[in-house]
Amino acid sequence: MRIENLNFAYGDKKILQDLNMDMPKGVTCIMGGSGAGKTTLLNCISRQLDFNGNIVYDAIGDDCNDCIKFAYVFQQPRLIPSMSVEDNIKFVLPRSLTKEQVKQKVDVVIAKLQLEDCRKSYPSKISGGQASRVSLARALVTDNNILLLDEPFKGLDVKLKKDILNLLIPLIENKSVVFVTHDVEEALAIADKVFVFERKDGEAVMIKGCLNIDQKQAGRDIYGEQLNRARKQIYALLS
Amino acid sequence: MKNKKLYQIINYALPVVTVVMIVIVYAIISKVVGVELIAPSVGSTLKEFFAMFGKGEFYKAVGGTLWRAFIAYVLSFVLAFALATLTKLWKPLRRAFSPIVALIRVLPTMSLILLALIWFNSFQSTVLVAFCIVFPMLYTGFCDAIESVDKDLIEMSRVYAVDKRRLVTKLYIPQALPSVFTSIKSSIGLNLKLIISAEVLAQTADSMGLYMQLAKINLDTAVLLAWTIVAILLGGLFEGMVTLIQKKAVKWL
Repeated sequence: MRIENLNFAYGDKKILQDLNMDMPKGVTCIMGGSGAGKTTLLNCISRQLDFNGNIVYDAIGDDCNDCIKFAYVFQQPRLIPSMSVEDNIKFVLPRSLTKEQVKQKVDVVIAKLQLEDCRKSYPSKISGGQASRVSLARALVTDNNILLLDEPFKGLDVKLKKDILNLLIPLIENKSVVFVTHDVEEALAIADKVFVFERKDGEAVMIKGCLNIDQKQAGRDIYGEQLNRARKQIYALLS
Repeated sequence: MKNKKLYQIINYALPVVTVVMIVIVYAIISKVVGVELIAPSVGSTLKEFFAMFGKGEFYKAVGGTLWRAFIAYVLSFVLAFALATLTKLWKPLRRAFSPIVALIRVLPTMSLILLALIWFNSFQSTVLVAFCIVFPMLYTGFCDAIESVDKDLIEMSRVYAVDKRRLVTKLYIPQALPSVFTSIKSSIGLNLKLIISAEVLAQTADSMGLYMQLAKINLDTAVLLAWTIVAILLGGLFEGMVTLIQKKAVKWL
């Protein structure tokens, strides 16, 4: 995915100005302080906001922007309270699928994200960790081209975050993922490319830095030499 | 467990106790006043109440009033629902309708009844009066109910391109339904009250309002109170039915 000269403003307030980014297949992490325009960028990518400029989805081709299917994991799980976990996951599947196809797809994600125990439960009866996994399951059950994750583990404890990340990593291999986070450790565990955004008062967002991470070489060892070096670079960019 | 059962019994018994208390207080007042014309005794009121069931005109009057209440409520409900849906789909329409709805809302009920009596026949005027009060109430309630649907969930559905039918049946209806039922509960009893008030002034044939007016003219306070009890029971019955439907609807959803 390429972002070319992207401009977006809330009224007179410029948020994104002539933003250019290249996001290869894999996980692209967007980091930066609060109000740095990270969620706004995700909302532009998912076409919830009207922007000026181009977002080119290489895998799909320029002529078929309407064919793009997004899956979005929001900061809050956004589950429908009147529906069970299973029905919340089914909710986003197209009506064209047969009952058997729906059941098969739902069963797969429920098993992969270890949600068997709560599949019939309602959102009010499940824990925060389970709700996050349901939100991820809902995103992964669709045949999406682009997966957008906006601080999906916000508010979860370190162990739970680690457990969910371990479940998530194999499920998003070979997918185009844009992952917004404040957490450097999360980024190191998952990212192939990291962008650090900065936004000074009244100014538009600027890219303070960008670095590529070769996760194959680093072996996803967040305490290994390569990722330690990346950690230092990210902290330097964030400070 | 024992405490829970006791709590349940108290919970059911309390409204009954309240009603009994009201009857006792009224009986005391009636005794103190001592004039049947002003405050008839509980006994004579109940005698008139039960006597009414043996008269054919009673059923005709109740039937007539209920029929007018039904027409007025269905009209108000359907139009309010349609308009609330349309204004949700096209926001400028809400702005366009807002002065009309505001005007109807602030229109004094009495002038409305009197004007309606000049312009229309008694059936039309009673229905119109109830419609003019209930419709804006329901319309505002339905608009608020639609607006109360969680914006975050709508945004989520849009991102996932959830089809409209599923969006309406699985998100909008279950989320808006509690507010819709609240509006219905608060307006259904009022609708009946308005119909009866309009009937009193319009002297509508075969109506509870007419018999109330006749009782007043004849200084038959016990009969007037008996008709009042019938109106209260009917209002309570409607609210009870709505609560029952709400419970069933929640289960069904």
